[in-house]
Amino acid sequence: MSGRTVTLERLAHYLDSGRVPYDPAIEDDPENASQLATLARLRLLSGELLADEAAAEPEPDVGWIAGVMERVRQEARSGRDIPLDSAGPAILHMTEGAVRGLIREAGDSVAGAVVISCSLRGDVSVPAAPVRVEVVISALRGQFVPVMADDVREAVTLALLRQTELDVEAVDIVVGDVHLLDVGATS
Amino acid sequence: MNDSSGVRLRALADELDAAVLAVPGVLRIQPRLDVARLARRVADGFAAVRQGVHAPGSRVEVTVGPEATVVSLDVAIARDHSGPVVARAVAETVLLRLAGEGLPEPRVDVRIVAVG
Amino acid sequence: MNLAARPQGLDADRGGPSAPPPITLTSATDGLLARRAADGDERAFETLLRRHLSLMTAYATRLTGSRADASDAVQEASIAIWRELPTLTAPDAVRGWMMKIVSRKAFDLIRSRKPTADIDDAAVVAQVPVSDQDDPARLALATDAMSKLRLALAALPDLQRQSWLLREVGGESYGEIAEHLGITTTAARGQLARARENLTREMEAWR
Repeated sequence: MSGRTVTLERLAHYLDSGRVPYDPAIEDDPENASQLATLARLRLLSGELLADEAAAEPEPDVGWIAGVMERVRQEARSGRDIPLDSAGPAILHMTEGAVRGLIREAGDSVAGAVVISCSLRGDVSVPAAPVRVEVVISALRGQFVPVMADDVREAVTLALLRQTELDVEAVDIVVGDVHLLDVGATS
Repeated sequence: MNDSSGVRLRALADELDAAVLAVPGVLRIQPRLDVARLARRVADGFAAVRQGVHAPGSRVEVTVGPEATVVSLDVAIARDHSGPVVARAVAETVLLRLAGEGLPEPRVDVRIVAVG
Repeated sequence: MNLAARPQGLDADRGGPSAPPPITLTSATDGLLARRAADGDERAFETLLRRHLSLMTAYATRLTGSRADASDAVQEASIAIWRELPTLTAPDAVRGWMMKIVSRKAFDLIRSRKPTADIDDAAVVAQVPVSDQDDPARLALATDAMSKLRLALAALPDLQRQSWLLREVGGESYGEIAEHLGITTTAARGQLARARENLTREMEAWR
């Protein structure tokens, strides 16, 4: 502990910055370099400690997850209210959230494509008001193929036509650049 | 309202639950946490809301006022089904069930909250 | 291969048989799951939650010292995560972001346990987790570095240990640590400095 020329805090910050830019006062000094190595090791071990304890955790309780998802559904970001053709004693409507879920499913159904996000532009609260739909997609694997965009556009247009009362003026497909699949991920 | 009416309304709510779940395309009914809407209805003239029934386990909300009986529910429908079509079918089912119950003018509010 | 069977949830599946099943989410990256969940996809959210739940729970247990409290904190954190995902600007870093929400809810819980009369400038002291793994007899037998770290952490005063965990595991800033613990930023830096001193000294003693 004695003879240290830089504080542990400075060493920790140096670690935080990824050891760049190279600091000779730290790296070239045996004592400081040794302290740095110790700190780095401690950081690694702390992460491993938590991972170790996480691995020892039992499988999540089915009821617990169900309870959380129930609350999530109640908090579902419904978005705007979309009136449906209603008569007499019935008031019928659909949420924007439901429509976006529909769009997501339709886009996902196109082989190789995945929907990242989507939005409805226009005043959906006015029946028969024209609406523009934007869907951001990406290729699940490998390279994106332009025909994929056409297929998604068609699938989404069809789904909205069949399953909503929206007057869709256009479906714009935007290709996003997102790393999507993690082969090493555990469920 | 005395308790026997409460019991009756709860039984009705349960039946409505079952009837709605049987409608083709309905996946589930979700409780609608919409305090604002209820408050609006009260302000709109259901001033003497005699009884708002939300039977335990039931997700259909039945509110009986002096001038109308309002049934409201949020519905999730299965993929490949049409929102307006199922909403209409659910509304018809509910209104059919309410007819002949002797309750004030039945009204139904169906909101499609999820597809698939 | 990129299409999985439709997950059988709690709801009766009455979907049309003609529709293709949804894409598999279990092999999606955190980034994709976070983006979809932010967009409102509940299945993506559930997948993300399941993937990180054990780490979140272990972290909350270390912070609160109680499995029951950890479970509550993680549940509240899960709902907050769902609500706040649309605000996340770096979806690929969602895991770290989720852990910050876990620590926020853990300390909310810890603070709620304290009678307010006692709190002036007094710091919120998190309970020391006394688990089997911290059993001194067991630790004396441990030879690997991880067990030694557990021992060293258990020997730290509470504030030092909490500061260390929040920084090294949670990646929180000095200001965030200070807020969680109810102390000043300077005090938080001091606690962390002392934790580093103690732990590096212990670490070097093992070599």
